[in-house]
Amino acid sequence: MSLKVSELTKLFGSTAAVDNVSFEIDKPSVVGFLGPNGAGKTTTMRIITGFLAPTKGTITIDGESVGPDNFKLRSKIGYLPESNPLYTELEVHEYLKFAGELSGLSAEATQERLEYVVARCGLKEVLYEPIFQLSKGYKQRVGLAQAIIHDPEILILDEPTSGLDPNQVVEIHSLISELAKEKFVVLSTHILSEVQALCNRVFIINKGKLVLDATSEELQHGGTGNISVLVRTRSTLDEVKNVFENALQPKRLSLKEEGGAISLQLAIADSDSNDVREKIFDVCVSNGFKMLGLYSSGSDLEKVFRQLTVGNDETGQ
Amino acid sequence: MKRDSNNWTALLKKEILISLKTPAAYVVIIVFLLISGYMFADSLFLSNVATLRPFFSLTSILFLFFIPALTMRGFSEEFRNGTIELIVTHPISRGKMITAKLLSSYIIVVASLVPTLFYFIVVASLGDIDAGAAFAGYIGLLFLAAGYVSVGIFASSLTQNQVAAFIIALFLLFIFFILDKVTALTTGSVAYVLQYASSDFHLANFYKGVIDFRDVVYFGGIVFFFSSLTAKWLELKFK
Repeated sequence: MSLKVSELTKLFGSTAAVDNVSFEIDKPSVVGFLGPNGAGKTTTMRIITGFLAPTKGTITIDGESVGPDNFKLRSKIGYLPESNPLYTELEVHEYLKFAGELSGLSAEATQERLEYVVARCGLKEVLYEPIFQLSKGYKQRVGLAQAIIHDPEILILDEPTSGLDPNQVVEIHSLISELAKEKFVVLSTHILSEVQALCNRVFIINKGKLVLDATSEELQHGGTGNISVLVRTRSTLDEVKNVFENALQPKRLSLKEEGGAISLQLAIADSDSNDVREKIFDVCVSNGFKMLGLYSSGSDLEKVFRQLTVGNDETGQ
Repeated sequence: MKRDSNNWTALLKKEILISLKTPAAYVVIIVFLLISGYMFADSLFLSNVATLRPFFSLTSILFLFFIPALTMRGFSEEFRNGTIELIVTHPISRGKMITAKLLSSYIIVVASLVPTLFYFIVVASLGDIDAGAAFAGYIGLLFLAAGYVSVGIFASSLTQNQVAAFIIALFLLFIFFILDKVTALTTGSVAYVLQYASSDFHLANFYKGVIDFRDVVYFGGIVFFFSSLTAKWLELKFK
């Protein structure tokens, strides 16, 4: 199983809602899409599910390309859209049967799966109630049951816990964690604690661009978090940049002059070493840079999020 | 797990189930039957002829309103509720999606014609009815309904507002209806084309008891044309 997104771009008019996003998921896990409202999370998910066609780029599942015309591949995906649309006139069992059969399950297989998802999502007592009578929490569970009824390999959940009370959030989280043992779960959220509680891997997306791709361990140990270094040297900005790029292969690197010194912002993907500050120190020493300051701010997701998405003007999709 | 390629019937079942659960469809059908029943009874004793022809021509006019009222929900409600996102992300082609929408509305139109068979019984008991012409007339109505439903479903795919979908469908159908009424203003081949494009012109043959292949092709063509247009439009919409 693998889900591969390469160079995905989606333009609405001349605005890029998704801008050259690439990533790959190759083992069962929960991947959290994090970003401010309008950052491009929903659009990315809609393209993965085949609802929208990308302007550029490809998405492949097990090497097969997803597109608005590849209908067969869609039975591998379970999708809970952002607004959790439901046919509220239908009773819960009618709706779930509809979802199962529309996914291509036979009537018997649907019945079998129906029993499983009803038990799993705790829908037994509302099974014969029309959906419009249900509380928001139950509706969300119905939406989730719909997404998993055909036993898909990939689950795309767009803000699965929005509007739920804390107890319901915990229930949905435990359900998602359970499902993630054997499935790829991609969920979007703007609740940072949800990411910390649930996700093995975090993508931060801002203004359509993927600005962070890190595992939760990397986030916790500061491996890829932002490291600030202040050095004094006679070398130019470009020379310093080259030295750091060659020595550490940072995922991100930005430099600026600051009162006669050079300030660097680094992010390094290196999960083997718990602390890259030693390496940075060595680089500085061997190149004759005088280190004035070194600060790692990697462990705090909220800080990373702020740093990467600050100044977002909430435009786009 | 067994995968079933007839999954579009799930959509068909869902459509009919929702129609049965919402009062709107019942109201529309009852209004249709009340008006057609009243007009039928009114004309029956005036004309004093054992024929269903007045009922047929009246029904073809009622269809201008009745069918858009049944089809306006079609795609527009899916757009408004966002449920279109669910359907499109399931393994179902646009063609099958449209087929399910067409068929579900068509089944309801046909079901609402069933009670009108009572008029046939009434007329047959009063006089010597031409059963062949009555049969052909019903076949004509069935073809007309299929064409009108495809126009209505197309209109519903254009907007998420049901009222707008109703008005667009009514407008399009009215054009088909009016075409042969304006032929007096034109001459020669233009008049011929207008006449051929008009739905009433083709219906007239059915009312006479003639089921002509060309008329069948005409209504089949309308269904095909508007279904293809709907498919193309949906394709563009998700680009």
